[in-house]
Parts: sequence; C-alpha cells; structure tokens
Amino acid sequence: MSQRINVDKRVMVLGGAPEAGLVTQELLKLGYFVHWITPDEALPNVPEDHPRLTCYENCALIRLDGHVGGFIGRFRRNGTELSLHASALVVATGNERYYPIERYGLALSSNVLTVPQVRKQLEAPRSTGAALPHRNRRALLLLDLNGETAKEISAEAMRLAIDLRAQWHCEVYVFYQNLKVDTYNLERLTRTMREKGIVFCRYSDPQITFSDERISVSYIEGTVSGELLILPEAVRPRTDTQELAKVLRVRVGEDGFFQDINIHEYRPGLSARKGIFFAGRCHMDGDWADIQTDALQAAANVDALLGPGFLEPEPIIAHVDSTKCVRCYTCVRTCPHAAVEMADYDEVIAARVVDLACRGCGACVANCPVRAIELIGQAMPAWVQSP
Amino acid sequence: MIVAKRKPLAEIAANLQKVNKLLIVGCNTCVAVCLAGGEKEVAVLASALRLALRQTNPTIQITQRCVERQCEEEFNEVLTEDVAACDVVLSMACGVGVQTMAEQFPDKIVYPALNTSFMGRPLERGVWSERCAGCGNCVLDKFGGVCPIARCSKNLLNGPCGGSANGKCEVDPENIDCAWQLIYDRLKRIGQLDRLLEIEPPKDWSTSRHGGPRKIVREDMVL
Amino acid sequence: MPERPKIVLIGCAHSAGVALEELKSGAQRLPAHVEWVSIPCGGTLDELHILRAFESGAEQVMVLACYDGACRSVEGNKWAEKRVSAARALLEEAGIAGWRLAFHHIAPSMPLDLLRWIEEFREPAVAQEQPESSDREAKA
Repeated sequence: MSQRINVDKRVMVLGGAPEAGLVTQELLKLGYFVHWITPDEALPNVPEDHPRLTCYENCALIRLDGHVGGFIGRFRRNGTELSLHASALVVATGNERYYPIERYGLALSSNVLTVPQVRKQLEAPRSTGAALPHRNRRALLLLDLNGETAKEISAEAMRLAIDLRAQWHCEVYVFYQNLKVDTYNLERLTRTMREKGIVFCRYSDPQITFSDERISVSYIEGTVSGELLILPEAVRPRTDTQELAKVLRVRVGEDGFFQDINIHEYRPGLSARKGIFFAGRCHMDGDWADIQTDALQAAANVDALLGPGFLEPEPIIAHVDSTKCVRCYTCVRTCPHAAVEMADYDEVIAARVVDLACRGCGACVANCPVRAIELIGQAMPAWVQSP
Repeated sequence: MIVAKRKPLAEIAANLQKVNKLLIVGCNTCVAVCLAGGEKEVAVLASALRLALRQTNPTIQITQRCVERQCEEEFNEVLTEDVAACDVVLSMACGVGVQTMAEQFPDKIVYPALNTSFMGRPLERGVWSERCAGCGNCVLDKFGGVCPIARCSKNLLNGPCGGSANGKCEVDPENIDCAWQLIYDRLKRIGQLDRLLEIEPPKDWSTSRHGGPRKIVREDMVL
Repeated sequence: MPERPKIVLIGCAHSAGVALEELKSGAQRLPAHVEWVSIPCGGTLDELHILRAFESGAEQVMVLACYDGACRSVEGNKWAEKRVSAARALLEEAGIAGWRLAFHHIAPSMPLDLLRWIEEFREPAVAQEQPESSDREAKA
C-alpha cells in the first residue's frame, strides 16, 4: 500500500547561530530553496542576493502545522503574521553563554575575569606607551569548576592561554578536574600549550583564596598563587527552547537542550519527528570543528530525505478505523513521533495517522481502548486472537 | 466524564466459579475513555478470567461484546440474543450501564467488573482527577471555577481550614491540592477576589445525593 | 530428558530480532521449545499478547526490548516494560507465578545473552529454612 508523495525541495532553517549559516549555505549548494528565519534581530553572514534564499529577522514561530513533506509554519514578525511552507526543518538556534556566578561562587573583579573579558583586553588597540594590564603576570585559568567545561569554551580558553603566553609573556597555569580533549582540535591545542610551557594542574577539591592582590588556587599536589584568575563562561539552552519545542512538538532532554539521550537521534541530529532535524549547539556540545561537521550532517540528512523528490511511508505503519474511534486522544498523546492527530473525515472527527510521519512502533495500537488502530504490514500469530 | 477502574480479578472471579456461559459487555463511552472498560479491556479481562478459572472452572465459555453506550437501551438491543444465551452478564460499564443492563434484562444475573468512582477529567494520559460531585446546585460562579464540594476534602464553602499548608491539603499533602488555595489564586487572577467577602450560608444538600435518588425531567420533551 | 516447558519469546525486531539473526548466521538455533514472535517495536506489545500466549499453552513468556536510549521510537521499550508489569500483576491475580513472565533489555549484539537467558529461565531457587526452627528445637 505504498504511496509516493512528491515533495518540493524547500527547507526552513530556524535560528541565527553561526551553524545555521553553514547549514543554509550547504543546502543552497545542494540546490534547495531555503527560508532562513530567526527571532533575533539579525542573521550572521547572509550570502548576498542568492536567488533561492529568503531571510526573515525578528520572526518568531508561533505554530507549526503539517508534517514531513508539507510543514506550514506560522510566524509573527513585527506584529504581522506570515505563513511559510517547507518539506523539512532544520533547527539551529544555538545556545546561550553566561557567567555562572552561583555555580562558581566567585564575583568578577579587576583581577577575576572571564575568558571573553581577557580576550577583549588582549585585542584592544594598543595606545602608545600604555602598558598592557596583565603583561608578565602569572595567570591562573580555572576550568571545570563545579561541573564540566563545554568543549567550545575549553577551546576558547586554551587559545587564550596560548596567546597570553605569546603576547603578554604571562606564566599560565591551567587548573582542571576532568578536561576532555577528545577532538583533534582540542588535542592539538593541548600539545601547543605544553610546548609553550603552560602548566597543567589537576584538582579535586580546589581552595581559592584571596589576599592583597594575589589569588591562590590549591590543587592535588600543592598551591599556586598569581595575579590574575580567569574563569570560563558556561553554556545553557536558549530561554526560548522549551517554547519552541512545544510548538515544534519535539522533545527536550533533561539538560534542557533538544533531543532525548537516544543513539538514533543524537549523532545524526534527528528529532523524533520525521523531517525535523537539529544542527549544532542547540542539541550538542562540541568545539567549532564538531559544530561544522554537525551542520554538514544536518544538510546531508535533509538531502537524504528530500533528494529523491518524493517520500514514501514506512513498510509497517498504523491505521485508524475512524468508525471505531471514540476520540479519547490516547493515541495522539501516546505517539512519540507526533504522527497521529484528530482529523475531519468528512464531518466525522476521529484520530488519523499521518502515513508519512508514522514509524510503525505500534504504541498507539496497543494503547487504543477500543482497538480502532491496527498495524498494517505486521502479522501476529493466530493464537493472539481471542477465541 | 465518569471515571472507573477495574475491580481486582479475584473479586470478579469469585462470582463466576459456577458460571457456564459468561457474557462480558464493555462500553465505548466514558469507561473506554478512562481505559477501564472498552473493547480492549474486555478482551484483556476475558483472557485473564479464563486463566484465573482454568482450575476451578475450566469449561467456562466467555463471549466478548462491546456497545456504544450501555446506559441507552437502544444500544443494548443488539445484545438480546447474546444475553438470552448466557448464564451471567459481566458488565464492564460504569454503575449506570450495569443497572441499565439489569433493568433491561431483568431475568438475567448482571455483575459489575468495575468500581465506578467519580466525575472527573484527565490531567495527562493515564491520570484522571475528580472535579464534580453532582451536588445538584452548581456554585462554580462564586469560586472562580474551582469546586469546593468536589475538591475540598471538607466541602468547605468558606475556607480554607487550618490544615492548608503550601497549597496542599492536610488529608494527603502529596496528592491533594488545597482547593481553597486554588480558589483564591483563581479569583485573584480573574479579578474577583471580592467574592470571598460574601459569606456562603450552609449548603442545602437536598439537591445532592443526600436528598434521595434524583430525577430530572424536561417537560417540553415529554408529550 | 525432562520435557522443556513451552516458552514464547516476544521481541522487538530491531534488537532481539537482529540478535536472533546473529544466532542463525552462527549456525545456531533457538531451542525447539521456544516460539519466537517478532514485533516491530517494544511499543507494539499489548498485555493481551502475553495473556493469550499463556492461554494458548505457553508456560513461560519472555519479552525483549531495546535498552533505554536505543529505541527508534524513543520510548517503545518503556511501554513494553510497563505492559509486562501490568500483565504480571494480572497473571499473579490469576494464580500464575510472576517469575513465569520475564523482561530483558537487549541489544542486537547480544545473541549469546539471549541463549543464556532462555537457558536460565526457570523458577527461582526456594528460600532456605528459617534459622529459628533449629533454635526452637534446641530449646525444646
């Protein structure tokens, strides 16, 4: 009972993170029409005058109807509403940075600074004759305080440590608890740091003390004191993540980022809904190289889905007998793929499975209190039937 | 809607030890929606009963049926032959359906398979919560849409009592919200807090169960 | 050799089904007393399948589904586990011992575990006699 539905090669990219730009560029290269939309004020690095690209800033998604092959997004932009159609969606809203003062318990000051703050000072134009603030000082970079450091943040911190050595001739000590350097980039940076004479100190229960202008940090093997304490920022999900997840009817993990912890979803950037994909920091932690790869993966996911130009339902899918349905909404509430909806069958309201969105898990079939749903393509032994 | 739950299997089976031909009848309205007595639950109960009775009553024959709404005689008409052919009817409907069957087929033994509990609403899939006690004199207008009869453990009309703490009821702080906290919050939200300044007189329970079994007649529908 | 009890194995095609294929490609078979029922996902499992299996002559039923985080439909394995609990409660009420219904998480790479679980699928050992009885005897 396979029916092919032709689909057009139109994709919505939601989000203004840099990786959204990568996804957009890759999709344009692959021949797709792209609507690139962000609720923020601006999009980064928009390619100029591309005939297949339309951009929308200040544009918030308020409702998503339809399913894979035919999504209809309703947006609000500056008080007016607009509708956009697409066959698939890529969510690349990125994450948020913040200084986790509650987690660290340390207030910022003239000698307790975040990595971006020191970076800004490092790159400030040199006024003639003015001494650089931290030149020749001993800098203590404290990572993993009360939790792991995100990889993109680790990479930034490491680059800062290297530049502090090179440009300000600082002595740099890096304190860490569980520093993961499981990407080529991070490993390379760590080697460079060691080559440059940056010292790594492992701690388990660090004591940070302040006296006069000096800060002391204790680690497993001793204590080091210096003039400058540098702390990395932390990442967290964007505050609009929960709301967006509800509109998209996709799931959010326990950590507040998109996706459950699920091996079928995480690496390939899939959601539980067919046709909705994730790219970048809104669903994963990684340094820029990881994020780039993930963005390309998202574009590849879209192309694998829409490239052939048509969609087909899976071989085993559920089907509702509308004459038996009692509209209890159990199936709608059960479906993890948002593939069942209440629909109008010519004046009879009953549940309906969207063929293209169904993954044939059968949870709705088993839960239906009046056995109105069956799994087409699935055979059970004869003894399952009641006598 | 009416919310019910299946009785323990042992209790149901106890009445069926000597029954030869059993007819199980489910209902596709309230009890189907609260996942207690629809077609699926009929099949599950039939199978469980055959297993439970396999030693004491192995030859029992069970027929499974389900009707649209067991409190309407017209819907139950289709069962006439099945009812005649059986020894006992086991109804998986709410108490109303059970009694309709008993009244419609007065020469048949009709047993209930469910415990009918309350009128309520689903909070999420699989969870139902009581909302209405059928008191016959609805005063939801006075309490911001929160019922002090169904949701306050003490049916207070001028609450709260001293047992309200952190928005919870002392009777079961884990599971029961203090209805009066809910009433206060709701009235505040809709700008009607001044309603709480009116003292509510003692309730006239005669419109409720306490006044005896009730009947409602629409005179214009009866010729 | 004592007759082996009839076991019905209900398993998710993506995990148990693949493990079973692994067995077969290694020229092994499920024992003759085991009937294999494939479902597309743990979510397909209905309590009725389990009850009907017992009614139809199975003496033991084993349900297999993916590990948490490995289900293609995210929570199909959780549904299977819930329904096994519900079915077990009913079975106990019906006088069928709960141990006769087993549930295991399984990955496609675990064909040998599957064989072992079947082999070990029997009534748990009876508890030892209470130490008080020997005290009582000593006092008497």
